[in-house]
Amino acid sequence: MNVRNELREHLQRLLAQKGDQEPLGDADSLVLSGRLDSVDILHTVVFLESNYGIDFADKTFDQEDFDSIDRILALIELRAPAAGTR
Amino acid sequence: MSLTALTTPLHIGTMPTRRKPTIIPRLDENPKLVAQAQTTEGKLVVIAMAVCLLIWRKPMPIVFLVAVALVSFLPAYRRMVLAAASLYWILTSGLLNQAIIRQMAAAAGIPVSYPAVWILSGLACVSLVFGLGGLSIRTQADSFIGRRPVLCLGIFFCLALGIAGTSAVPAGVRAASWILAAPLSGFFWMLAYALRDCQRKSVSAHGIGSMLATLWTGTSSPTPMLKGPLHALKVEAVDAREFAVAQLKGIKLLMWIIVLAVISIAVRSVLSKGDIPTLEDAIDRNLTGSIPVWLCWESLTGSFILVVLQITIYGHTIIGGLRLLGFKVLRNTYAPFRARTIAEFWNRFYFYFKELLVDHFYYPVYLRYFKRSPRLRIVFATFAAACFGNAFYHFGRDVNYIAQLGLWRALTGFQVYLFYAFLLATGISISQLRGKRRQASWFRTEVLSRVTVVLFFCLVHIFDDERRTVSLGAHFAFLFRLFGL
Repeated sequence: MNVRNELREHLQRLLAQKGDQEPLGDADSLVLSGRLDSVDILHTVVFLESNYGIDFADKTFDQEDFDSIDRILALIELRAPAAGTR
Repeated sequence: MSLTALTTPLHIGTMPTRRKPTIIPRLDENPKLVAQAQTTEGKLVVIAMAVCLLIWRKPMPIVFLVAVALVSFLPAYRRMVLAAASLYWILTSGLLNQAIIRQMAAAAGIPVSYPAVWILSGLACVSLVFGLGGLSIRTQADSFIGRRPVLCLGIFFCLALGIAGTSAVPAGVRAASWILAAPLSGFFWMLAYALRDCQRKSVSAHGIGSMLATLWTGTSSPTPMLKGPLHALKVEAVDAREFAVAQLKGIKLLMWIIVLAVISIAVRSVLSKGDIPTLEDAIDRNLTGSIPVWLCWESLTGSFILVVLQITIYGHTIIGGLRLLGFKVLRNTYAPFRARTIAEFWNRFYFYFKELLVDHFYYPVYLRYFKRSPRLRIVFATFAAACFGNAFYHFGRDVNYIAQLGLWRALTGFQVYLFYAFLLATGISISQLRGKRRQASWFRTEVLSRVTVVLFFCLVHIFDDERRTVSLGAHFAFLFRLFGL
């Protein structure tokens, strides 16, 4: 499974737990639209830490970097360059 | 898309599928209304509705309504209008705490009766702190202040407050510290968000102007509902259709306020007719004599309902106003009684305060400490935010107590709210560790979980007392009285 699909599956699971069954496009807003809250962002942080070894402690953290699948993928690309080879 | 695109009306879309009826009609989901709201007549109607829905406010927000009219008809000048209106609101909001500065300066033998002097000195202090902080971030990005500007701001504020509130310090030095500490108290979190944004990208003056537009109401708050200049720029409407939708959503919230205000009046009337004391009165009366258990429960329940209504009305007023100015912002309060967990209630009840604590306390701690121990990591970060951050916010906000009582008495009097913050953090920690468990029955999922959450917040509300003159013991005595002890 590639990174995009793994990420989509993780986010869809979070949304489903909140009863959100709306379709999820790659550019759809998740944080600014209120579909994901800060607790969901933390779950996603743990997901990225454990799956791609990203360390968020050393950089300025912006939860709006998690606003869409595309933006999270850009974050993974920036902070864990090896992720694309998985 | 450029701001001039705000003048380009878009086509009428299709009608949405039929949905269940609501108390307030879904104006923003009706394509015909959205299209009409982009025309000159439609804009006039929106402004007229805003006037009608805000006419009951005292004083009536004339400057705000003029700003709404200007951004509606002159979208190309929107940011300029917002910046000018923001400056007006800063000067008149009272957030600079000029009354405290004047009082403390007079006590130090510097009697200046012109409020403008203290307003301008407060504004100069806030601007100076932001300028120095921003400059440090730009020029010394790897220094401590460049890496942790908000922490440095907090330390600086605490030092200024410590000197200002200590009676052993000479009066002149204390007055000088108040000139710094009092305006910082009102603008601390706006500065924190702005400095955080400086770390990320260059912060434009337009963004700062937009962010400060949160001050538009008479009920100004140190809790920013636009989380910094970058957030303000991200959520502003980029075309005429988005602007119309944002305004219609704003009108909807202002309509909600009328409904909630009527409910609030009805609740107050019931409490008044039943001679049910306020929670503060009930706590005091319990100390001096016996108060019936049923009256304690009625007082607590009534006070809790009124607080929920008050916070909801307050948040809807600010968010409704921001939407009328063209910002696509989320509600501050959204159906809190639907929450099935304590953490969810807190998220739904006062969203922007929770966001402030999460952004400045929870994330920084969660991302740095106890990574190998997931449960401890959650608990530690939750206490950093809901207990320490919450207490720091309220202690730093209510600097008038330090001016009245001195630092030590203000600190010792803060024990009740500190305990409230501790209880809240404990509840939220347990709620997060438990997570959303699969419940076996409908009753447990839909009824029991919600009742438990409301009961928790209702009981914790006893300690949500910002007075500094009543002891923790008095609040415990009231809690025990509720259970007949």
